[in-house]
Order: sequence, then C-alpha cells, then structure tokens
Amino acid sequence: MIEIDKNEQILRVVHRHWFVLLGDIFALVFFLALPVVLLVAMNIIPITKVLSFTGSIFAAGGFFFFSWTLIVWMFAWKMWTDYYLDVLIVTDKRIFNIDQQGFFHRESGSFRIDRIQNISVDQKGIIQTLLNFGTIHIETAGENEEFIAEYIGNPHLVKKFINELQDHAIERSQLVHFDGNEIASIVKPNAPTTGDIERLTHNDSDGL
Amino acid sequence: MTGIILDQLSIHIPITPLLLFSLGALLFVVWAIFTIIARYHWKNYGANKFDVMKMTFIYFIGSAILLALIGVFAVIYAIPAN
Repeated sequence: MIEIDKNEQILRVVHRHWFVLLGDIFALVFFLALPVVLLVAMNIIPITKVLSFTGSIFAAGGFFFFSWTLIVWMFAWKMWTDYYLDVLIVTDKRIFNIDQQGFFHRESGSFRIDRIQNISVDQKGIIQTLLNFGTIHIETAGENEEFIAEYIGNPHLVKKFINELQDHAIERSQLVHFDGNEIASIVKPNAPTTGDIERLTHNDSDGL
Repeated sequence: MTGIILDQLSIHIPITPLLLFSLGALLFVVWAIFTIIARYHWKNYGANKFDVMKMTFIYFIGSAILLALIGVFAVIYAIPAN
C-alpha cells in the first residue's frame, strides 16, 4: 500500500525506462523457444524408447507445449510486476521511491518536496545518452540518505518537473505566514500557479 | 548409440491420460496461487487503477486461452484413436 494522504494528489508516476526490460524479454524468448530445441533433440535422442504414448503424440506434444507456455507466461508477468511496481511517485507534497524486487521484497521511502536540497542526473554511456534515460540522485535536508532512482526515462524532464514543484512548494510554505495584502506584494508575476502545475503534469504523458 | 544406452537403462514412462490430467491440475493450482499473489500486488501497490484493470484483463484473457488449449489437448489425447 502506498501511504498517500487523502488530500494528497499524485502528479506523476515515473517508471524505469523500457530498456531495463530487454534482458528479461531475451530470457523469455529463449525459454519460449526451448520446446523447439527439445523437438530437434527428440530427433537425435529416441525419446519413444523412454516414453510410451497411449494416445496421439501430436496431442501430447500440444499439451506439453502449452503447459510450458503457461509457465513462461507466469514468469513474464512476474517480470512485468517487478517492472511496473518499481516506481517513483511524485505527489504535490512528497516523492515516494518504491523498489520492488520480486513478489516478497519491497522497499519504499518518501520525503517532502520542500526538503529537497539538490537533484542531479547521471547519464552514462552511449545507450543511456541515445535512449535518454539515466539515474536521478535526490539529496534531502537532514540525516536521510540520498535517494537514487535508476534507469529513469527523460531524467532531465523529471528533474525540471520536480524543481518546479519544489519552487512552488517553498513559495506556498512561505506565503502561509503573510496576509493577503502582503502576499500580493510578494508573489512574483511569473510564479507557477496551480494551473501551471496541472499543465506540467499533463504535458508529457508519454515521456515519463 | 543413445538408443542403446536408453535400452540398457530400461527407463519407461507411460504417458497416460491420467498423467496428463494430473499435470494439468497441478499446473492449474500453481497458476491459481500465482494469480492470487500477483493480483494482490497489483491491487495494493499499483498507482493507477486503469493500468491495473488493463493488466488484469490481458492476464486473464491470455491465461484462459492457454488453460483452454491445455485442456483441449489433454482431452484429445484421452480420446482413443480408432
């Protein structure tokens, strides 16, 4: 369960880049092709000396092939679940970093946006540069560790989004100490408004 | 060569319809347990309800097709060829 308050709004859910799935996809293709390899091996190894079929060999082959495919199917969904639940959730108040490792290992941490001190993006190598993904490091005030989100797509855009949210959060927290007239004299003409935040959250839906 | 070795080992596994149905039932139980665990995670940890709905739909459609094919082939195997 993600510990989000009722009055807290999810602005962005950032998944890892699809590139991290490539290794898993190759493994799945290999496992899916394994029965074909076995079929070739059956021509070399006289399997009928070991197995005796009371019915059609074709039907038995179909049964075993689709049973194997169901196992690979479940394996694929386990991989997808790992990928899908490994996220960075940005709300209007906090950032949640959730690290899902298999079904029974889940690490999650959160920090307030106005506590962020520094955000840096790290893109290494030709693949990360060309496919535009990388690691985001977020340092917060206090004794908390540095938050690291790896293989994030469009990391610079995510960084910009968080920076703007942070600016808005800091300004909002400062404004609660002033009355209406003081606010009017303090607010900058180009300060981000709630409308700006909404526009930012809906602009780049496919990029993150 | 391999055939001679297999003859000497004299291992013989009869593939009966009962064996296929037992394996199918075992696979179904494994699938059901996996489904409960996966659905629990999607429902409780998924950040977007619409995504979870789409995933659930695709998962169940694919699983139903595969389970149906497994069942059909097991039945075909059980029908005696005349």
